Amino acid sequence: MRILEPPGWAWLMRHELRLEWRAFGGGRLFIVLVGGGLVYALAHLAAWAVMRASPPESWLAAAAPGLIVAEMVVALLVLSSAFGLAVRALFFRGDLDLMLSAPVPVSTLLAVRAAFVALGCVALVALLWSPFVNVGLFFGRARALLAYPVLAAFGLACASIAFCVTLALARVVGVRRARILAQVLGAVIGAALVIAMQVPNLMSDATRMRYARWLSSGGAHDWMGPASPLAWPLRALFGEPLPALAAIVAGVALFLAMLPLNRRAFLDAVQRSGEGTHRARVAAAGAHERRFRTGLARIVIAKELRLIVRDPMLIASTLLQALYLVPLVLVMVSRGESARALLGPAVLLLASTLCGNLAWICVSAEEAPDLLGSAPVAHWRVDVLKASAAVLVPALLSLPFVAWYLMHSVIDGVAVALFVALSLFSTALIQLWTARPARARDLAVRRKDHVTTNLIEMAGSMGWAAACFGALAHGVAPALGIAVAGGALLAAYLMRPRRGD
Amino acid sequence: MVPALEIRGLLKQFGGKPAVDGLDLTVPQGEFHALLGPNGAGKTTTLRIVAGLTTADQGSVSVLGRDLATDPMGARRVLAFLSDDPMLYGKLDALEYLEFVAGLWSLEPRGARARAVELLELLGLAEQARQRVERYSRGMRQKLALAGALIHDPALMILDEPLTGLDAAAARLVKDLLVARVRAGGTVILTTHILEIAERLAERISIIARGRILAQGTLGELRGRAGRGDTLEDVFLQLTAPDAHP
Repeated sequence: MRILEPPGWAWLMRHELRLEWRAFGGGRLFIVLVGGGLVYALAHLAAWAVMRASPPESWLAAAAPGLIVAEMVVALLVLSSAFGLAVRALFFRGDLDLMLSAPVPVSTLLAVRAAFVALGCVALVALLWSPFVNVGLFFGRARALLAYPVLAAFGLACASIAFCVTLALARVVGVRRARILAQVLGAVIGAALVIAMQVPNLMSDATRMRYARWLSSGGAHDWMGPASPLAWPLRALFGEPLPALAAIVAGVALFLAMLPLNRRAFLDAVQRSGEGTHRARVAAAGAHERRFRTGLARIVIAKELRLIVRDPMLIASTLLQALYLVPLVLVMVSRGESARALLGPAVLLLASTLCGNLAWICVSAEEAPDLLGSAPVAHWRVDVLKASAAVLVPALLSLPFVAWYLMHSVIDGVAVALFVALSLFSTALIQLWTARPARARDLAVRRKDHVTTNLIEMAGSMGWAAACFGALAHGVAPALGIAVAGGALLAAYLMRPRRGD
Repeated sequence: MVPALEIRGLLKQFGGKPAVDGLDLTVPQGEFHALLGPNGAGKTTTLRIVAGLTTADQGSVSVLGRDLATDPMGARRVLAFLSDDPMLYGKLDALEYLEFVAGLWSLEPRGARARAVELLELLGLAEQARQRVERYSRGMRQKLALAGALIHDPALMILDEPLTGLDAAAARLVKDLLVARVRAGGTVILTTHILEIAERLAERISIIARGRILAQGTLGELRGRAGRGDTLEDVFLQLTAPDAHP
């Protein structure tokens, strides 16, 4: 069969799967098979217990509104994930030059890339849902197997939307900005429901009452009931033939329509990605305008901040984290005093996570270690300055929240400022002590690659967050949190590589 | 006059295998010295130890009289190291990169800026001075790294395969620049696989294999020592043959 032979699409899919498997750590096959198999078997047992108690058909009748909301959350998360995967498949994989220079049709490459994104974005949902499908066979529900093509079609639809939007963005704003925008858009979609759920908090009491009345009325039931069009994807997943057929046809049609529409845009985007979109500015004039600064602290911090600001991936992940501050701001605006004890720790956790990422980028993912290693400066000083640069950004993002606390209570404001500062310094120190050479582009997988370090970092942040909560809740002693954070710092200190390691 | 570089009994092992095995090397000031050797001979490890990027297991290194173990800052101040694949900051432009390097060497800003502009013009990068390094070709990156190595006017330059990836014109430019530095009193030590470069540029040549210096001298001395052959290539192949020094 030609599709199985090089360079048929099945052969290319196999190539993609092999790369992904190796990136995942194919060498850890035994752990994956044994551990994953055990968990999967337990999931089947759980599914069996659930389905014996009540068949899936009855779920929709019993709890349609909840299931529809859950379906929307999952759909948005899958779409969000498709955006991230599409950006990676289009702009961050260095092999498209090679593939496009080979005698492989562009449409085949686009189809394979998009299909792989489709597979990637629904993989987790499929894994979680498959025990119900498989166990369904024992209950005589063979049609439940329709869930597999339904999920595949849903993945194709999400991948098609992500490719269309990302390639359209690349055409309009250029490849570099499209990378950032598509990722931020993906993040916004992922967080949309979380943010939307804060809307009731912003409503006046009268509006909230009207909303509650509407929810209990027949109008809401039309939308959130089992007969609603919004429930069709669920019914398709449960194996109802008509909704399943509709979902499959819609997903495949969207995918097939996307391919010819985006063939040209795909080629353009890949070519422009290689060329870069930034036009060289006139050099001579610029060269004479620029003044050099001096002082190790100034130049190191300036360099790190420049690199942070100019890294689209980092900006996207920073914006993503900043995005999760939006619900907190909404809570702050709407609930005020009642959210006082929780808001500070939440801000602290977000700032601390951001600081961890930035400190990792600055310290571990140094791009020119040889230059710094051979320079006549104390290496520890350079590292401390780099970590300071990483602390600056989250500290600035936390300032409005600290100011809000200060306006309400000076003591609370000081407590939040203190614990946020302690948490940032603690995270930066942990990154300094546990630094290992790495590549900046591996930021997304840093937590996977250094599990112990990240557990320590997380324990430190959680400890400071608990201490902050204790201080704000007046009456809960922050000592336990401080002890946990101190323990995390001690563990990181003991883990630090010795000189000459 | 103290030598520009003095290495005594240098030993470095990786996984129990010696990469540098009791190496001795003395390079006087004002010399253009080439370090030749087959792949895995220990050239890069030696240079990285001199640059302070790798710690030796044994032995001493002295740069213009400054012992690397006791005065590492003093040694680094007068030294420049350029690796074969220099890592630069892709998101900085050339001028920002040079500003950063100048800052590391604590250079006076006004003078450093003037020097940076001069070097960029000299190396043909003035037009791209405000362009981000990530858009540079391999040759342009190599030239920018060289500008970074030269900005603090080092007394000793050690370069690992500095001409890799350069086109003929750029390679000529770099060679001329290095020769000019030696004429001005500086010392240049480079490793290269292109024997012709060593033959044409170097005043003295050291041939290294299995972590040791096998032969050292001017081209004429090396030819004489080998006893036969007319070219450096003949001498090199004879000395580094697997059965030459068991």
